[in-house]
Amino acid sequence: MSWIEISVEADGESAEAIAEVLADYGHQGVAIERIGPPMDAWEDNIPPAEKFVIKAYMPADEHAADKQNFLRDAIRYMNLAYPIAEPTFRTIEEENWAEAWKVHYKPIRLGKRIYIRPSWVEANDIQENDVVLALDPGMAFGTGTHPSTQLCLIATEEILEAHPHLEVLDLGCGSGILSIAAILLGATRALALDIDELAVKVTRENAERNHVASRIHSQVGSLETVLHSARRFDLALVNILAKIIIPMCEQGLGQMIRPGGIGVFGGMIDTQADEVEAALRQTGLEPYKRLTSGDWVVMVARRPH
Amino acid sequence: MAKKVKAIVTLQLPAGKANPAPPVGPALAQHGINLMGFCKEYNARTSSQIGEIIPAEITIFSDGSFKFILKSPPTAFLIKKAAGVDKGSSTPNSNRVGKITRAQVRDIAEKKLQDMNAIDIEGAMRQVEGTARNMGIQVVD
Repeated sequence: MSWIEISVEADGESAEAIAEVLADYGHQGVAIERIGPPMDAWEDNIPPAEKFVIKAYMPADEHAADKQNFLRDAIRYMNLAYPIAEPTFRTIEEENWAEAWKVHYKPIRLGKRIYIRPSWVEANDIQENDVVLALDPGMAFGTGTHPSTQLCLIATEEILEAHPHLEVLDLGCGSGILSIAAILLGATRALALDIDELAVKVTRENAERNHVASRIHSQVGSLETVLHSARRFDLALVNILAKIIIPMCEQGLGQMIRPGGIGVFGGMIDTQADEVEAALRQTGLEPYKRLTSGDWVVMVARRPH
Repeated sequence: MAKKVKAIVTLQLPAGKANPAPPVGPALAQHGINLMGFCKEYNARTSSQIGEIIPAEITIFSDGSFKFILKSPPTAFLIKKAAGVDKGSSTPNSNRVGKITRAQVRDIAEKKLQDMNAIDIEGAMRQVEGTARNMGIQVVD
């Protein structure tokens, strides 16, 4: 089966009216996408949109030519009241869209033996000592492609290679990737906390998928949860954000690590690293290593005996 | 974790009925989004609003993850409701099919302000007026 894709470019003022017209001809609604230069923007600093493209799809059947003419006329009339671009039409072939998105994901190899694969990919290049994590992309959480997450994984591997059997805290666990990797790399057990219930749910699912659910306890919680308990940890993995880590230091972030224990702190860019390092020192930790990838920095710090 | 945004796509879909067919499939598959994950979540969140068009604004991150928020029904839907008409005009320049007052424009703009690409209420009202004009709905004082 083929489809006719209808596209009309518009500004913010006319976008909804055009969407309304296209919805009359399109199959099950319309898509409105921002266009312009590549966004490459931080989530909390998205520039306002100036231009959009509105798309609708209709079956390329015997009625398609008539519908295209009606649509052209409708847009032409709208153009008399407000300047609107001509619609463009192109034929696209039906695809298995439910599966097509998966081609964007490939296995990732990190550090010495970490291998992350989407669950649908049969890994045929696994080596004997590889630690294999199966993670699927989904709502809100990635699959280990973020540079900060990758650096945290590399740091975690190095630490656990030298000191296995550690008890781990994963603060701001997201998909649970760091907890799962830590267990697979030799840690005894992990507490995975996140203030987002969805993250806790996804961490549990991913832990089960990787057969480590019995050694990872995931729950809604924050630094406060740890500080109000008597439990302390050999290794803390904190891949959050500089602007969150710094105030956490003032609240006693260093206290959650046992004397002699180690913390891995991610989610900062190079211009924030000195400020984070100073805050870590203030909370009683001794930063001793920085890992970098592009703008991203991960800091490793020890709590003195 | 701070993540970079790759694209923002809004899908205006019938509540509870998202599936991988167009427009969802072609609009999202190009960005590497877990399509079935989106459809399942959208349908679950909109299951109580069957019969309405509920837009979902999807933020797609550079690592392929995404999140979405549901928006209020499209401005055109609210305009038609305020004007008491089922459909906009196919020839808006010559054939007006209804009227709404400036007070109704303000009311719609206030409802939609958070969802719109407008800095203030006046900007939002201009967008509502533009949408009404393009639908053949006259705005009167």
